[in-house]
Parts: sequence; structure tokens; C-alpha cells
Amino acid sequence: MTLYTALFYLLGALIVASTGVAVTRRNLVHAVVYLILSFFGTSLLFYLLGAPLLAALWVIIYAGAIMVLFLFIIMMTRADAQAGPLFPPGQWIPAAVLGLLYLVVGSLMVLAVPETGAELRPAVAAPRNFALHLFETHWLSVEIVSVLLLVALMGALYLGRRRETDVSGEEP
Amino acid sequence: MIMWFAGLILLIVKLAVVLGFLLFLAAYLVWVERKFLARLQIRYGPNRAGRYGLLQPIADTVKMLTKEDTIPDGADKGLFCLAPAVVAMTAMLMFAVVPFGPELSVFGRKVPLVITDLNIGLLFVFALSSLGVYGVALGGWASNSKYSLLGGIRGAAQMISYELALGLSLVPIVMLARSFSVVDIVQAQERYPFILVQPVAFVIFMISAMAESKRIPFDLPEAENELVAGFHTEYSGIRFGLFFLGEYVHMQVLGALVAVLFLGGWRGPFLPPPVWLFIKIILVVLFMIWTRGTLPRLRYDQLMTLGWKMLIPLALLNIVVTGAVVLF
Amino acid sequence: MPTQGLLFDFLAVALYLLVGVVFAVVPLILSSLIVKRSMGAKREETYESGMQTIGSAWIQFTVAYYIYALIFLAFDVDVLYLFPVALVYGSYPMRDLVEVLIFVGILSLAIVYAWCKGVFEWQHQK
Repeated sequence: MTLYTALFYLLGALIVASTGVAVTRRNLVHAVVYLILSFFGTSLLFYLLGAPLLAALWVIIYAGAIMVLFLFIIMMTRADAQAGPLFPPGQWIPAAVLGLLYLVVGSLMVLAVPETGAELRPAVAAPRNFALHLFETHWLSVEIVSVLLLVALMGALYLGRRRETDVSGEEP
Repeated sequence: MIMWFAGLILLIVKLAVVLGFLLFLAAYLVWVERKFLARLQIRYGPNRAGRYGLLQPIADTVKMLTKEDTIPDGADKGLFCLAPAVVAMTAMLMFAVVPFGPELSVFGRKVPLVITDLNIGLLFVFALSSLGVYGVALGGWASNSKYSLLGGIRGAAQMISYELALGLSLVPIVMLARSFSVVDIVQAQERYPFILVQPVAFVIFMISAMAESKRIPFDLPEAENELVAGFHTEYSGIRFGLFFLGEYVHMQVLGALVAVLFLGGWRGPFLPPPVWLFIKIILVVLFMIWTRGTLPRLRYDQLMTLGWKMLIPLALLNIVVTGAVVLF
Repeated sequence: MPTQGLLFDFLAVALYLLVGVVFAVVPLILSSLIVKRSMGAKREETYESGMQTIGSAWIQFTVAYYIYALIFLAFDVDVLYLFPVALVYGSYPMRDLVEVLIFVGILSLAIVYAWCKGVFEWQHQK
């Protein structure tokens, strides 16, 4: 086992464990912290698998931006844990069914490909190559994504404004 | 194998030197700040411990080490202990990509004077500064104190707002240097420092960097006359010391980033490169202290107006203008 | 091996982090060894201007700043697209400029929209 493989499994274990812990927390802020840890691990994995740019973007967007929003929203909802089972049957049964389905389909798809088991050749996508590829082949989708984000932002602002007039709370 | 081992030893030496220097300088920056501020306000500043108060940092350290550190009753213990570490660690890690000299040649081996020349260096810094938000937000939340919570939320909102301006101001730099690697960016400033061609980006970066470091005039998260001490109200003893250390390391790192991105990094005549970098860092930090001595704290709406209505549009405009100028 | 460099950089940063942690943890341990602890008294109570603490801070309240987090999220993704553009800027002169113009234009639209909606105004509560 090389250092590389060891790091891979270590990070994989970290990601799975922290995500598992995040899902089972009653305290939502704790869940967010574990989720950040999980994203961080994923980013390191991306880095080690030869996608440094993706690793950086992953931390900046997921851990840096989305989780801050989550943190704010958690503070706006009830913070104290509700009584009752952590996972009511209405939640875990569909989740388990979908998860199992995904597992079966995923493993079938992996096994159906003849390359399974072949060693992955190490490769590195330098930021420049990545950027060139993005703008030679996917420039249109990037523009569309930015328009999509604009529309999403407008929708969120619209909903947010309406909500603000409903809830009369004190300002922080 | 031997090469690997030699590289590792070299790396550890570099790490120890850089970290030791960062922490030492952080301790002495406290002294510099107090002395300089005192002079600006026509006071003496610390002058009891040693000549010119030069032993003050040691006295401060001993005091912090021996003070009892309390964890408030209602606090979330784990996160309460984690938060100061996040602040200190993210600030410290940013320095990993700052080069402090050109490549040296020792016994025929090439020794780069940087801890690691990541090819995503700039984004690495950006990612760390976006993680730094959690130190403040979680520290404020975990204390379970109203002041801390308000300070933490304010801090998070302020830091994310200015992070955008910070990021946008760096886009023209990347356009000019054509690389994310900080070493390459210094290399690209061989003929002239980028401050000459990118004065607007420099100003935006400087202001956003000061806002990121949460110092006057941007110290709303810890505004002492309304929030006691903001997000670190409940911290005491060595844990408070870690927050404090984080702030001063952050100042140095921001100084180093300004130096590396806009002032030509380690370049300069006569003196050896690390000395030049040091001088530039100190100059930027002194400027930040000077601002603290001069300006009053902004109001929250002014802070957001400055960030969203002025800096961000200006940064966008700067990108377009730079894009046009680079081509023609 | 192409990933050798990555691994070395990774280890360098990891080591740096480790040494940093050591630098941070040693004072913590040192302090916990020499600090004199006094029990009792109300020193563990949350500070509230010297009065008795009233309730917890963990209540539900409107975080007026969440709207900034929202804009930040949408904006941040766009800003991060700008970085790769900047990296290869000039490879196809005219096209790049047009692309950046469109991009920055869309970003400005978002700002203009939020500005017109008064998101950046501070709302006084009645």
C-alpha cells in the first residue's frame, strides 16, 4: 500500500464518518460543522486525484458560501432539538429505499463496465488546462449557468422580501 | 529516496523558521501597535517592562498563560474550544504560499524560498479566508451569550460581503500574471510592481483586506461600546490569546499578500529578498495601524454600502477595463 | 509520476498545519497546567453587564443579514467562473473580451436588481 492509497482511504473514511455524524446530529449547528469537515475532506480528495482547481472551488463554494447561509438559516429557525425519534419512519423508509436502489444501480453500472478493476492512471488537470477546456468547449453552458444564477438570486430575493414582512423579529 | 528525505528535512526547517518568525512577529506587532497608537495619541505607550517596553510581549504572554480561562455555563464546549483555533489556523496557513525570496541554490540543490508553490495559490488563500468566517461565527454562537452571538453574525456577514470584493479585485492580477501561483505572480512583476498598473485593484484589495481582518474602522463584530467585545466576549486566558494571535498573524499575512500581489514581493535593490518582504509587510501593517488611529468606526449601513455599492461595482468595472487594455 | 508534485505539496501543507497545531496546542496545555482554578462564585455565568443572565442566546430571531449570505452565494459562484477566464485570458482575444463583458454584465444586473429592490438599504423596524 503506497502513501497515496493510504491517504485515499483515510480521506474516504473521514468523509463517510463525518457525513454520518452530521446526519445523526440533533443540534443543527453541530451538523453544519461536521458537514464542513466532510466537504473539506472531499476537497482534499479532489486535490489528491489531480484536480486542484476543483478542490479550491469546492471549499470556497460549499464550505465557504453554502454553509454560511445554512448557519444563518439555522439561527432563524428553532434551535432547540425537537422531541421524538431522530428519524421518523416517514423519513427514513423512503431514504433507505432510494439509498438501496442507488447502491444496486451504482454497483451494477460499475460492474458492467469492462474497465472495472483496472488501475486508474494518475493524471493532473493543471488549472490552465482546466480553464482552457472550460472555455473552448463549455463556454455557452457557463453563460447559461450565470443567467440561471441571476434568476435564482432574483427569485430568492423576492421570496426573502416577502418573508421579511411576515416575520416581525428584532434585528441582530 | 534520499532526495525525498532531504526535501522533507528542508521543508521542516523552512516550516519551523517561518512559523517561529510569524509568531514572534505577531507578539512584537502588539508592541508596535500599542507604541505607535500611543504616539499618534500623544501618549507614551508601554514603557515599564524593559527599555521602551520591549519586554511587554513577554509579560503579556506570561499573563495570558497564567490567567484562568473560563468556559461559560451555557456554552457549547466543543465548538467554544474549536473556534479560536480555526481563526489562528486559517490565518497561519495562508502564509504557506507566500514566497519570501527567489530560488536559492544550496550544494547544487534548488531550494525554493516558499513553503509550497501551489498552482492554485491564490484560490488557496481565498478558500482559507472563506473558512476563517467560521472561527468568528461559531465562536460567537458557541458562547451562548447575546453579545457574542450578535458579534459573530455581524462578523460573518461583513466577512462574506468583503470577500467578494477581495476576490473580484484579484481577477485583473490573474489576467496580468496568467497564473494562480503566487510565485509566478511575483515573477510577473519583474519590470514593475502591479500597484503601478492596478492602482484601483490595490485600493479595493487593501480596503477589503482591512475589513476581513475586522479592525477599526471595520471592527463592528467586536464594537466594544455596544457589544462589549463582540464574538470573543466570553473568552479569557489563553483561548482569548489564540484569538488575539490569530488577528495579528492575519494582519501579517494580509500585509504579505499586499506585498506579494501588488508591491513586487521580495524584489528590491541592495538588501536581501526576505528583508525586502519584511519591510513591505511592516509598511502595510503600519498603514493599517495608522488607519486605526485615524478613523472612527463605520455604521453598519455604511459598511454594507461601501462594500456592495462601491467596491464591488468598481471591481467589476476594473475587470472590464483591464480586459480591454490587456488586449489593445 | 505526475501526481508526485501534488502529493509533495499536499504533505507540505499538511505538515505546516501540523506544526501550526503544535504551536497552538502547547500553550493551551502549558496554561492548563499552571493556571490556578477557583471554583464556586458565579464566574461561569454568561456575561450580561453584571446582571443575572436572562435566558439563552439560542433563540429564534430574524437574521437580517441572511439576505447578504444569499446574494453572496449566487455571486460567489459567478466570481469563481471569472477566475478561470482570467487565467486563460487573451488566448482568443476578441472572444474573451466579449465573454468577460457578458459575464460582468450579468453580474452587474444582479447587483443592480438587488440595489433597486433596496436590499442594501438598512431597514428600520417599526
